[in-house]
Amino acid sequence: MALPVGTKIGIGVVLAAALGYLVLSDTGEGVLEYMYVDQLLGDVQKYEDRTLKVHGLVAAGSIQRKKGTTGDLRFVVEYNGERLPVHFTNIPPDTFQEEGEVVLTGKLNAEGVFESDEMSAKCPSKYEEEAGGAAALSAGKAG
Amino acid sequence: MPISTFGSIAVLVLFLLSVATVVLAVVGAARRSERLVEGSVQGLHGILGVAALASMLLEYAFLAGDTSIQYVHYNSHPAMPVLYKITAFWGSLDGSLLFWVLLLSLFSSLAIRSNRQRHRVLIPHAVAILATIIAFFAALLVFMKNPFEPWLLPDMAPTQPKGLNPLLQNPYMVCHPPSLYLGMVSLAVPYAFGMAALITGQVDEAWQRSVRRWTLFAWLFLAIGLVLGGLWAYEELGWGGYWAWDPVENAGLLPWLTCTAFLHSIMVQERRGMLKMWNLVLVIVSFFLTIFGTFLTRSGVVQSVHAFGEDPALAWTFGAFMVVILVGSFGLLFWRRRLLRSRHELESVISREFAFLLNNWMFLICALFVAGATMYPTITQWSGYLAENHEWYREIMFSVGIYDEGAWTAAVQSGRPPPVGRVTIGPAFFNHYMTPLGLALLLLTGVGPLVAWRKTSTESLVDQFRAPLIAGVVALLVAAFGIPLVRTEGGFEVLSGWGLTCFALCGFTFWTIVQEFYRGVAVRRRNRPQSVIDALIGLVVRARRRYGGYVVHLGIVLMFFGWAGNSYKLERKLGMYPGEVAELGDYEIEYDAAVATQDWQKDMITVEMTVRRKGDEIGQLRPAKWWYYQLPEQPTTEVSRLMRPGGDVYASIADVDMTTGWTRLNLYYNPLVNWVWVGFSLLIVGGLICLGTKREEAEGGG
Repeated sequence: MALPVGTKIGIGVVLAAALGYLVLSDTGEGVLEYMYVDQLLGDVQKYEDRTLKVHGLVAAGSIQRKKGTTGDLRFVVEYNGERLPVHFTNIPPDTFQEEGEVVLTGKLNAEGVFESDEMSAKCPSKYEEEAGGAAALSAGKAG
Repeated sequence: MPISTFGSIAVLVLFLLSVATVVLAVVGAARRSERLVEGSVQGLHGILGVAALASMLLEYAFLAGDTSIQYVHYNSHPAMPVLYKITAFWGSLDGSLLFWVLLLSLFSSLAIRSNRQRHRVLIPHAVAILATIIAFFAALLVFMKNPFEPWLLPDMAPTQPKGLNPLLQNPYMVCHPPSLYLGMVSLAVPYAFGMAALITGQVDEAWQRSVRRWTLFAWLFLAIGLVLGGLWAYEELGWGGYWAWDPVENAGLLPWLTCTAFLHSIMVQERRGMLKMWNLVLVIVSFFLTIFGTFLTRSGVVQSVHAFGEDPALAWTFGAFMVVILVGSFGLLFWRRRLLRSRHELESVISREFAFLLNNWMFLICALFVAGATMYPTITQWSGYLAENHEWYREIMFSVGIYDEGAWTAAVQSGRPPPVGRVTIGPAFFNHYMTPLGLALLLLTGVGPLVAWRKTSTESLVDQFRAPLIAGVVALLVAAFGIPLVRTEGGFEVLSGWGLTCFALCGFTFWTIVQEFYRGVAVRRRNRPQSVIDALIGLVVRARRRYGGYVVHLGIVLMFFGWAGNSYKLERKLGMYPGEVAELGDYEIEYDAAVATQDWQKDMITVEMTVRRKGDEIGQLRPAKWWYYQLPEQPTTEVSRLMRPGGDVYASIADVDMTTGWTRLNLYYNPLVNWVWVGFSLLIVGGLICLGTKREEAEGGG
């Protein structure tokens, strides 16, 4: 290119500075640790009170819908024999059901209950049933 | 003969014919044999015939309800409306691959037909590449995903049909996947011609003239697909938004970004003979991204709202194909690098070329960023898997400090799963980076048309920038002090910095476009007295590409205007009894009653609400829950929204207790959201104006 070297360096510096600012101002919000129920319960102290995503199966018969002015949902998710009680305070996605796979976003509180208001639910039987076949997922708050 | 057999044979013939076409084209090109090349062109048309036959067979199977075919059994239901039976064809993996082949063979046929006389040398190579891509997808149909697969034994066929997910029974869903497919598939055409140009060494503008309109077509349909998908999410999923950076949404966005870059940089090559290599890179990357997107959505490598499910064999096959594309294409590019030198050099930073160059870098950065962030969670997952199963890999990860050896050993010793460090990346992360990048692109949308080719004089700069800058400042002031988008009891909502920047840039860019039109009209009227309307129409018709482009820009500005409203979004989650009133910003929402009804397909509970603003009734909201008889355990959430120019009042319900009428609902106020759809309509209009460009003009325009 026929541009003077100074101009080129200038452009480079401006772009690098802008990019640098963006990276430095990134609070890490939006990047969440992701794990299965057994890993979360394997190290409760470490994960307590951290916002993270946890993956498991909704335990059969565990869904309780409470109807009050602060309506909410309680259920248990399990994985590899470990059970995690969940308190969910949003509209569950349409594919939420017992024995379905869910991914919840929230925090483990001091009582060992996972407080969540965001869920993706996967439904293995919804769409195609072949072994290893398709599964539809549906977003709760924001996939 | 059962349809399943007939269809399977058709798919097999499709595969064999496409392989034969590749062979004919390659041998024909090598021997310079007109007859063989002609044969390969006929082969390509033949492929289209067979693909059409196979598609009609599958469509027939759906309409006839032939559940002896597994794919039909799983994806249709006798009670489904006919429209959804037709669209069930591409509703799931196997059929969508057949649909892909159908579109690809259609576009290949059309593109070769329309370019046969003009760019004869390119033809055999373009045919070979298109037929190779078709052969790849046909092979998937034959060997892995035959949509005509019958049950192994006739009596294995279940009697109870499954049917299409009610969530997908929505008019947007009828149009959304096919328009994305149209866009993605048509990008194979520019790629094939670009590669043909590289192979033959005829890398001047000829190949681009063959593909410019195809790229525009692809760009337009990708945009339509993306926005329809957004509308679907907005109206069906009930979380009050339309874009969540889901991997599948991103898969469609990626090629759109590189396409947009290409449509701009191609002008630099036409006008100034620069960026030849870059344009080829963009064509390769765009095509690669369509295959990458298909890989993301079809193989289950990433978790997503709409992914089709996990399938490692398919993932590996796609992976291998992607490697071949990358190595082959960039290898060719390297081989021909000497032919791709620029005729001119960049003369000034304040020039149209440089604005386009910046725009291209931005679009590419956006694409790389989105691709990286989309894949990152999957990479952490693979990495974790490797570390759990392979010691050598674990050792490397320990030594570079990515995994903590102490924590790992402790976990394994106590029988716990090792901390593999999987992460997910949510919308907040994408927004953090993409908001400023998007705004920078909006700024360039305004600046580009104001600066001249080669270099711009200071006087011209002042003349061009004065009015738009004033407009930007006015927009900023109006947004900051004039229009309360959202008023809460304590006064104005806190103003968002990005929101304000966006308003200011919208004002600036909007005025640059107005100025261009105004000056064009003024010149025409000076040359020949005529009405403003006549002058405007004449202006657009004379230089469709240029003014069509401005109309697209205008649409983009309006879409950004709508996105700026996002910064002022309100959200409330609450439980209500009938008779209660909820406040949402300026609006009062009264819960009147809950009503239970039913039709032949489903039970419905509808919550009736009245919306008032400052005491005046402005409309009704009717959010509902539907229980389809087909899937009673999964009620669907039916959103209700009150559309106004200032924004949407949007409601969705979670629970209704019919004994007391107590209901739990989410209320949203989405300021300016409808301007996104308005802007998008303008973008389509502008795109169509550009598509209608006459050939002669395309060669000289700018």
